[in-house]
Amino acid sequence: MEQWIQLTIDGITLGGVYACIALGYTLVYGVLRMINFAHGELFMMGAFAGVYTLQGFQDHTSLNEDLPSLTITAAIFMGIVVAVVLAVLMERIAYRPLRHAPRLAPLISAIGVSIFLRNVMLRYTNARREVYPDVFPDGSIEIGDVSVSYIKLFLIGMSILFMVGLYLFIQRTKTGTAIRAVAEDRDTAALMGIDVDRTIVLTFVAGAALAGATGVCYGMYVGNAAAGMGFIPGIKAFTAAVLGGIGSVPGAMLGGYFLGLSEAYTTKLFGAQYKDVVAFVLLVAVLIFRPWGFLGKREDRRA
Amino acid sequence: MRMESKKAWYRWPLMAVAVTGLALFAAACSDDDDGDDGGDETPAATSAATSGATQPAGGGETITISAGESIKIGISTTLTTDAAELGIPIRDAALLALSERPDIEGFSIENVIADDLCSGPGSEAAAQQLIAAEVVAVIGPMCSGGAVAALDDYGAENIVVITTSATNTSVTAQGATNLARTAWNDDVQGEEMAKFVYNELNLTNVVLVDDQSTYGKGLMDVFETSFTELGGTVASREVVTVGEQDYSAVVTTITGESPEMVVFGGYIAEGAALVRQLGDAGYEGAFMGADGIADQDFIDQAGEAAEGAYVSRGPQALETNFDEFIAKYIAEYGEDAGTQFTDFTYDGVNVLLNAIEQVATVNSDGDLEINQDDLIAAVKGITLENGATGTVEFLDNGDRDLAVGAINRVDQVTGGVLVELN
Amino acid sequence: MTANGSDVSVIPHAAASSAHLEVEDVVSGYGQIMAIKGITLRVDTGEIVALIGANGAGKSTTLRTVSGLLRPRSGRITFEGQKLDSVAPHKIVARGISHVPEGRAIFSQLSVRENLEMGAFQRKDKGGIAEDMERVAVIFPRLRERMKQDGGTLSGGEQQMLAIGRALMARPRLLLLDEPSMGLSPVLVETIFNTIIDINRAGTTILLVEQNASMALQIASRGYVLESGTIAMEATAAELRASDRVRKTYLGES
Repeated sequence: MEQWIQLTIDGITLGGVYACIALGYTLVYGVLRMINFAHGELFMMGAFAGVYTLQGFQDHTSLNEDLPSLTITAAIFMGIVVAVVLAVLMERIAYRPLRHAPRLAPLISAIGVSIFLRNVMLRYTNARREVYPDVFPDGSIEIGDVSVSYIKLFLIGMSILFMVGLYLFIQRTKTGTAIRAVAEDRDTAALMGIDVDRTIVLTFVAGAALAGATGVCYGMYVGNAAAGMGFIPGIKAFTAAVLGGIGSVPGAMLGGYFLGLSEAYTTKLFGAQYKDVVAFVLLVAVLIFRPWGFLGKREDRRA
Repeated sequence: MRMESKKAWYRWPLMAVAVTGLALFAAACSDDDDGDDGGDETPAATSAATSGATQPAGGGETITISAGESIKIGISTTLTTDAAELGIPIRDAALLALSERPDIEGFSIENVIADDLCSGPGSEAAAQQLIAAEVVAVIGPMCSGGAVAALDDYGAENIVVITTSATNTSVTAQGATNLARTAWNDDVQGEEMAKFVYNELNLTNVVLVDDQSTYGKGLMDVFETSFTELGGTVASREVVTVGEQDYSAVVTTITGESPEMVVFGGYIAEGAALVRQLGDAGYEGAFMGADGIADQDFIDQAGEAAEGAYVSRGPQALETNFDEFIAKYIAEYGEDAGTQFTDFTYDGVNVLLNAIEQVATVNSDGDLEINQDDLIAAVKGITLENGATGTVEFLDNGDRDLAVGAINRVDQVTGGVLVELN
Repeated sequence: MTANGSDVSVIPHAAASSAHLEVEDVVSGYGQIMAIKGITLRVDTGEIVALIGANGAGKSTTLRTVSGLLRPRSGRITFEGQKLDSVAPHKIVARGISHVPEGRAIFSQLSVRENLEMGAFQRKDKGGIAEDMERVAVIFPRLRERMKQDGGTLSGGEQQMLAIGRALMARPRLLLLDEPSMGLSPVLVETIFNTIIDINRAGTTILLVEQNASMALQIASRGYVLESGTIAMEATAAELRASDRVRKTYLGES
């Protein structure tokens, strides 16, 4: 039994990461009907920004030991900044010029951006992993036979915090409402006086901030950053977004946790070699019976 | 209905035309290919054939090299594609060894180099090229897949083959009699690790984890077989996915088995993540990895959790002349290529040249005679002392004998660095 | 239940300057297809001007070009003396023009309140926005009851009220209305048109596109008849109502 509780915690940990990345896919899809395949790379770039920030503190100060909460906050902040700047450039250079091109064009452009960013980091790091300094306190909480390390709790907590933050931003702020308005009907949104281009950029920014921040927390959790680290989580998060209903914010969260838990349980039941098989069988099954995902809307007239 | 039957009416002829067209096109292409290949190779092959004094012989025949001709040694390595990174230093090491012994019995030694593309078809093509050039023996092929594919080609001509870099078990498992290899068989490490864990550490209950790669899975397969034969128990086998970093669920599954040791077959990134997360989960058993993680990077990435981990470094000779070899190599080529197998290649060429010296005789006409069966026997039975990789001797199947001055070295992470145990 | 009569408080226009739209020889459309082929029309301050015509005559294209959703291929559009062509739509809203598009285009996944807030997107005066929200609720009491409901759950009539209310939230000096009567019951059409009159009396100039020509010409001061992308007739509403051609083609009289 303890093992199943442990697996549930494992699934929630990874699921939270998937969910945070999936939100970026779903937001951008919402406003542009486009899959930003370079989104996983924003997660990766965030992790690098975080590791370099913490390494900087390590090399020049003793703050990593004295005041880790400050350096960790700074690392997350830098992760957000780097991911956001890249997302703005990405939108401007690779996607906006293709806004009225056939749908496949921005998709291919996104794959290009993804490959570009990955290779820039491969070259910059000489394909080595950058190791996160040990800033987070070791140790774990033990409840019976179930043990949850602090860093895992931190990751679970942060992913929930990021998601709640994003949810409130989307639901409660004027900009968030504008993003939803643009997602639903770009022309009418423009007639309201909403600057559609700016709102699209802000959508990228929101998704990127989340990916960058998650990248730092995940990097601290696994202990390193690597050029290829965004690829698989990116694919998984995309799957989660589709599973939950692409375009739906709660759907992305649900899809992320669903996928994380399915992977954890499958690892125990059938072995880790089958977790992706099970995940994709589930995806196919869901798409057969609910092509719009768990919480997605059936494609409307504007599809 | 009507529309459909109408469509179907012209669909079949259309398809037939398309298929015929495709077939013709394919046929034309393949003809072209043959023509091209012939065009490229024929001049070399014919010139070689006319310059040679004898036809390549099968069975235990004797190769006769007329006075004034040279002894041809074939080198099958990879000169193009990504694998050339390994293949070019191999070629250079072979040429270095050859240059140190310009002649045998007054007959000069000539090299014939063929690009085997690190692939099966490429290595077979290289074999045909070298056979046509009438080589006496071959160093190579470079890659395991290529060696397996080309062994038959060389076997049909009874040409002795010394591979210096194809490490997969399947190479010597073919049962070819004309083969020897100076590089260690991948399986040796797996067997030695199992012995170490069972005999030295006295641990009997382990969980095996691999990264689903040929290397990682193969190593753990051998470990499982050997360990079970010794009497140990493999509680479960788990896998990790390359490219992922969160292995919590795998870790939870492992700790559920409460093994005495987790043994890992794979590379640094996955191994470090696994060790780190085992530590985070409070796992207190032992950990062992293999040469795939034998690097400071592994320790840096895994952090404190790596402390105490055992790392097998693969078979190594106790005493080698590696330093002397690499100094010569650097003097010749400017820098250490930094790749494996140059030392194995250097020794491989010397094994071959020593064997030729043993069996080659000059007959009454002043021609050099080399009996193929004798040459194979001489290679297999050789003892090469003071090699760059230690003392080289072969087992019956052509694999290198670990018992001769070599061990499977095991390190332990102590104070954040790898420290040799034995 | 509905607003009628000028005593009902209606959102005042922000500035009493001369709302004055001039469309000169404008060609516009989608891709290669030019739905309007050189039209010229004028809306004076305080007027209700009706634009009538058959389906596909170019009525909606005209409005979409004025509000910036479409860029004119040629011709000039000026509003209050300033050039309007090739200005982005969200900037045109800032200039004082609101467009209620055909089919209402309510944000179905936003609440009624959020829809109204979006109407006031460019305004920063929270107090003023709250006041206007209250005024819209007075004009359309049914919206008040449904403030927290999603726009998509409203009936057709309610959606039209929301669409007009939302456009008023920007405090426009010129309101472009595209087929406000479409799909509504006669009673509701009556209500909507009374409201339009009230809005106009409170000072908002209106350019009204309608298939229901008889209703449109009842409340308009002047009208244009659009046929195949060109202006076929231009006259006062009374003259148009009297015209044989209009009566036969657009008022359904024989």
